[in-house]
Amino acid sequence: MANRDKRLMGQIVRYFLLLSLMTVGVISGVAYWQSRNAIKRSILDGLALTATLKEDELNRWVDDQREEMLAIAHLPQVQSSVATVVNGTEADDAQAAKDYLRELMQAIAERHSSLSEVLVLSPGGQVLLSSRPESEGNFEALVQYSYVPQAAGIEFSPNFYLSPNTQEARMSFAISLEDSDGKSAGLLAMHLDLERIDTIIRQRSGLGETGETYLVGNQGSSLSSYSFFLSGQAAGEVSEGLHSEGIDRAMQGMSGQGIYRNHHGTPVLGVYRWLENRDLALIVEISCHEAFAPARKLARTIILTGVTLVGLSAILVYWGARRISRPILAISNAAERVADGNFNTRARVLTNNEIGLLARVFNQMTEQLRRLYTNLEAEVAERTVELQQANDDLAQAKDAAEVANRAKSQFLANISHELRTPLNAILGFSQLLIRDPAAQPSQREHLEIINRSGEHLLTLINDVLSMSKIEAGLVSLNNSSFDLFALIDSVEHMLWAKADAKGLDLRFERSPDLPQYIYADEGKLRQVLINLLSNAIKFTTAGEVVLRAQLATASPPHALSEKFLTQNGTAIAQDISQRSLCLTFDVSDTGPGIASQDLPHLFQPFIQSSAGQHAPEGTGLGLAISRQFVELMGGQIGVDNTSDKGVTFTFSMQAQRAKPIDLAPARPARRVVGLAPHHPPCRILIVEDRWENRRLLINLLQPLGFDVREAQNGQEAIAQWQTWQPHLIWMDMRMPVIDGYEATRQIRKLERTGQGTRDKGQGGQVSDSRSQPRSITSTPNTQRPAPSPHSPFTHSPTHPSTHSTTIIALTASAFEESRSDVLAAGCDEFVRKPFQESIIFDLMAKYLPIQYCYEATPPSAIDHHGQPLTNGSALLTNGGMKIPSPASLASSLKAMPPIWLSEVQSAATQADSDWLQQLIAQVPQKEEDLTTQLSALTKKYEFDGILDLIKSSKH
Amino acid sequence: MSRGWSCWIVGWVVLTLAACTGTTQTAIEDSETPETLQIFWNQGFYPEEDLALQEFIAAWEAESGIDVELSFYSSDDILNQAVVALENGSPPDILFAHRADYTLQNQWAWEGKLVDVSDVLEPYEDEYTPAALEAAFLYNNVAGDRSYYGVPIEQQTIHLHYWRNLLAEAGLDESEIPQDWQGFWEYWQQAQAPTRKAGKSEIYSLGLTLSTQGSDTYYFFEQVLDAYDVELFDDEGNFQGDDPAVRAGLIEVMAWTTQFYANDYVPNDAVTWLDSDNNIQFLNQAVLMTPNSTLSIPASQRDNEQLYEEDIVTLPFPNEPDGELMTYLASIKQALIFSEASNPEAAKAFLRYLIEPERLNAYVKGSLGRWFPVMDSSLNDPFWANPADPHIAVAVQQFTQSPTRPFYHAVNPAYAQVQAENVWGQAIGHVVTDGWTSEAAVDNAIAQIQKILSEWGN
Repeated sequence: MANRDKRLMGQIVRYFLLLSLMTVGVISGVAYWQSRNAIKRSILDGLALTATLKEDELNRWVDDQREEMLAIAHLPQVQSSVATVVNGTEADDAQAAKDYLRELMQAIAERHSSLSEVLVLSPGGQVLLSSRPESEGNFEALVQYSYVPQAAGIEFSPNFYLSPNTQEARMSFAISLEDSDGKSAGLLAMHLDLERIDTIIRQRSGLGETGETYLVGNQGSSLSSYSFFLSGQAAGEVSEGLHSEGIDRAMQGMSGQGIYRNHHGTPVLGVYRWLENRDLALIVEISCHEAFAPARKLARTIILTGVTLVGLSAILVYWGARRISRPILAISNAAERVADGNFNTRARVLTNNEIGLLARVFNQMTEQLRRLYTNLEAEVAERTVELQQANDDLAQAKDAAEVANRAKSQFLANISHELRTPLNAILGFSQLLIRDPAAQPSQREHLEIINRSGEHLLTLINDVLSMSKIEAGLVSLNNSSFDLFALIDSVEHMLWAKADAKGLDLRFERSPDLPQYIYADEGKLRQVLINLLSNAIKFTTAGEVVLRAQLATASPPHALSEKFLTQNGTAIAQDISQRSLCLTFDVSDTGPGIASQDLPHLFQPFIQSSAGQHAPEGTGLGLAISRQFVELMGGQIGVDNTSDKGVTFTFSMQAQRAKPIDLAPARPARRVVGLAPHHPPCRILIVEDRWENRRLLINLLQPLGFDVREAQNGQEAIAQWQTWQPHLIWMDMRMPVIDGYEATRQIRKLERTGQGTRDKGQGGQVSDSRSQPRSITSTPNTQRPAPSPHSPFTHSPTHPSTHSTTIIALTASAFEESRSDVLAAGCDEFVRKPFQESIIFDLMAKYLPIQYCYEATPPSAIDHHGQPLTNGSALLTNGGMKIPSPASLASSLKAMPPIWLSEVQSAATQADSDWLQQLIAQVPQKEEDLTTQLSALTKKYEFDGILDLIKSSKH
Repeated sequence: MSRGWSCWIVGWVVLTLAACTGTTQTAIEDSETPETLQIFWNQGFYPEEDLALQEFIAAWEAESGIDVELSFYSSDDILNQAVVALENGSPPDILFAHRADYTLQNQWAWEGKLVDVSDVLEPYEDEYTPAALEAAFLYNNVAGDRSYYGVPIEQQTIHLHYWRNLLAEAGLDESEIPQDWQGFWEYWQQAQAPTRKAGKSEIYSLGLTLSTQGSDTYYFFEQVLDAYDVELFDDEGNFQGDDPAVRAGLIEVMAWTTQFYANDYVPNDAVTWLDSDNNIQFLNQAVLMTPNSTLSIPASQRDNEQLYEEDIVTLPFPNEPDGELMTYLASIKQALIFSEASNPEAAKAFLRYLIEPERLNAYVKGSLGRWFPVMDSSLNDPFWANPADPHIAVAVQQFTQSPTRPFYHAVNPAYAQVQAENVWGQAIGHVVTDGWTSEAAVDNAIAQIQKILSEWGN
């Protein structure tokens, strides 16, 4: 408050002071300069007048002396006396003349104040007579004499010079006298006393204290002359450094006036004159300090008066400023308090002028502000509560959504487990039943319906799960090197029957440059091809379905993009490099085409086309999955629906060229029929909460000669392990009571503490009957001691477990159990359901020192990778195997006797595999492909496939 | 806001002050333009010279009908007066100054300030001595050619004088004066003591002018340089100060000249003498012997038979240190016409009138032998041809039997500035009064000369 008061007041007073002082300064400055200039003019005028007067006086004096000289020379007897003296012919006359002249000259010199000496000289410059007798006989420098012209019209330029003897300035006038013969008769001369000039020059008439007048003469032989004071304060001072602007300019013959520094360096006002014919400079100067004293005094007076007035005014201004600023300060103080939040402040209304009005308006504004602020606070509080509520709701909703999402994932994981597990059993056992010769044909027909429906259901489930996986971002590429031709052939073989059943012509065309071996995701490519081809077959009633596979690297990108636009209209990108390939696949059909309203949603999941809604089967996810897979493989998928003849789906994919050597080595596909003879007993524990799944493994392993026991949950498994010491445990990870993770952890823990080994050495049974293992082995000796160190197991397995018991995890979840979690729990290996029997055997061989017996004759290379035990479409999903083409099979069948064919048809219809085996055995040796195919179909209970084959052979 | 306001105020103040400050410049008074032929003439040493001129002028005025305004100035003043008049734009029509030829004439010619007077000289080219014509044939840098820029009137060279009676009184035999350089100068030094003993107690043996104001100073110094064969310029006019031999010669001559003063053979006030002062000091018998650049000393005493015929003796220089004959430096006095003159044609007419051989001889004779004629025909005049005249005869002998040469400004006009500034006088002054070494004084003089030459564009 106080500070602000000072600030405002100070500002007003400072501005006033600045303005006033500047005004005073300017006025006094201007006054000083003007008076100075006026003074300068008047003083210079005065100096010039003085100079003129002195010059005139000097000239007059010179003229006076000259006239005096002439007057003396023309005195009677003077010239004749001089002649007498000079010539000196007669002694008496000469003496008389001398006396006369000496008397005369002394009288003149005494009476005349300006004459210092009067002389008579010989023409050679010798002093013959003088008013100062002591100089008689000496020679004088006649060149320095000023000869007074006797004739008129001749310029007389008297010469000032420094006496060679005394170095005093002097002037010598002379008249050359002639005798009657016109011959030189000596000189009459006089040295002038310059005191008079000095007096004239020195007189300071009205020049003040510092006023000075002086004559400057010039001495020297040529240009290297120097100036000296002839008269003045420092007359006779010989100084080679005698310089000032006035002196220098005057000595150059210029006359003028001005302000400059004199020879002492003092600033002076000066008038300088070059005296023509005198060879002299006359200079009149007065110091600036003295000259301009009145101007300074005036300026000082103005400044003093001005400053005094400014001081007085400042007091008045301060008083007035206070009166003006007080009400303003009152308002600003009030405003400050309002700004601090005190809305009850009011500004004092001190005046009735505009500032008073401002105070009143300010108070009204403050009141309004106060009211608004009060309302606003309440509103803000209310809104804050609402916002908090909304935030809480949102947080809850977010939590709920996350929970729901987790629940969905959990649900999908569970449902996959829950759906696939029973389906596993349904399909497996329905096939077993179909194979049962005791089944009635009608029953068999029903069983086949059950089987096919199950397969369909499995497909649907797989589709839904695939889409879920895709949406969850859980799908990744699984690249490997494979035979592309074989893949295409297998797809053709798989779909051939379906197309054929609809009377469609299925054609596969490979371009010549298509590489046979590539490195890509074989499974995904297969699925995309199957999806597109199946769709084409599904929607086409007549005509043909054609697959064209080609290498797209050769064609420029735009050529392709013009023809095939992707869903979002961008061109199919192709990365072409040394090993990189871009493959394109076209699937064309002659179907009804796609309705234009369906095109935008064609590749979107869960939206079925209008045609698809009327189609007999399918989830409508096929195209969406295909698109996702294609994009994952670095390609694009698009559809060309322009022609009336049908639809062409085109997709591209990135791949790399591979060599045949890169392919996984083909192992001889041999069927395990049992353990080697005299094999030491091998104990396998199957831990699985579902009976049917336990049975599948038991049925698989027990016939081979393994000792197999089962446990329904983790708790039982631990007990079994403690008492029975299995060599290997197949551990389901999801079980009631104790799940596979916990059971594994506990077993491993017990192993470390050595409990298991202690018990097993006893070979004793656990007293608890519930944990009593139920022996299902065919071996009578159900309780065996643990293998001794000397047992055949002592030889190292291929991959010996770091633990005494190998535990291999089994899981049926579509969402992968974390492999790392499983291994961290202590499991040695990880197998996903539905599993393949070859994987089961291979893993057991990997971890246990066992040797298998194989079938004597390899059943051709149908399945060197093994087949999912429960997959009814095993034949269709065979990868990488050499599959005979449907055409060759058809021709082979045609070559067979019709009776044989009808018997095969009957056997297949009846699902009598034994009969079929007998009939297959009748196939000639050369038709190996036919034998293999039929055997495979029979083994998989694919009796429909056999019937399709026979049907195709009749076309 | 406040800053802009302040700036505005300051600007106003400045403008006000500027408006109020009336500068009073110096006013130069104009000289009146001469309506008649204006002549600046060097005052003679003797009234006869001036009277002779005045007579010729009066006759010419009557003949031509042109008025003449004649101004006599002393030698000391006339050049300064001319320079002042020239700078004021009102130079005289004719200038005759005794010291112009070795100071300003070449510079004026170089700058194109002089009128080409070839047509004036043409009728008398055969009459003039070659040296006189050579001295007047100057380079005009504006016209880019040489021509005659001066009308030779008279000439001078350096002579020596001594008092025969004083030698005799001191018991010295003037016939024993040696003719070799070393012996000659030693003779005069040795004569000082006996002369003082014989009654002239304050006499000095040598009247050398050693001042910065006297032209006699450098006239003598340069004559001695020539005696020592020190050549300051080559024939092409290139300064040889860089030549170590020349520098060594300069130092030797400097040391030789100044040692007379240091050893008290020269009056103390010789360092302030003007050109007339050695004359007076000699005539007053303050010195026994003196060099002088004219014959003014005997000439002034022509009326005094005892002095002229008996006591004062003129003698030429001794042989050079290497034994050769002395080469005399001649100075040709010329009348000049300024380009800015009001009446150049009238000026030419008057000079044409003046240099008619008889007339010119009459004028030169007026100096009573102080100056020497520049026309060979004049030498036939009995005044010059009289073998009985003890002084003129020696001068004629010097001019006719010894080689002469002009000063260095004939080969390099910039050298006139060296003489105008009396560079050698200054150097001598540095040694004799400031106590410098001869080396330092010479080096300083060389630097001064080089500076002058560079200013002239050499």
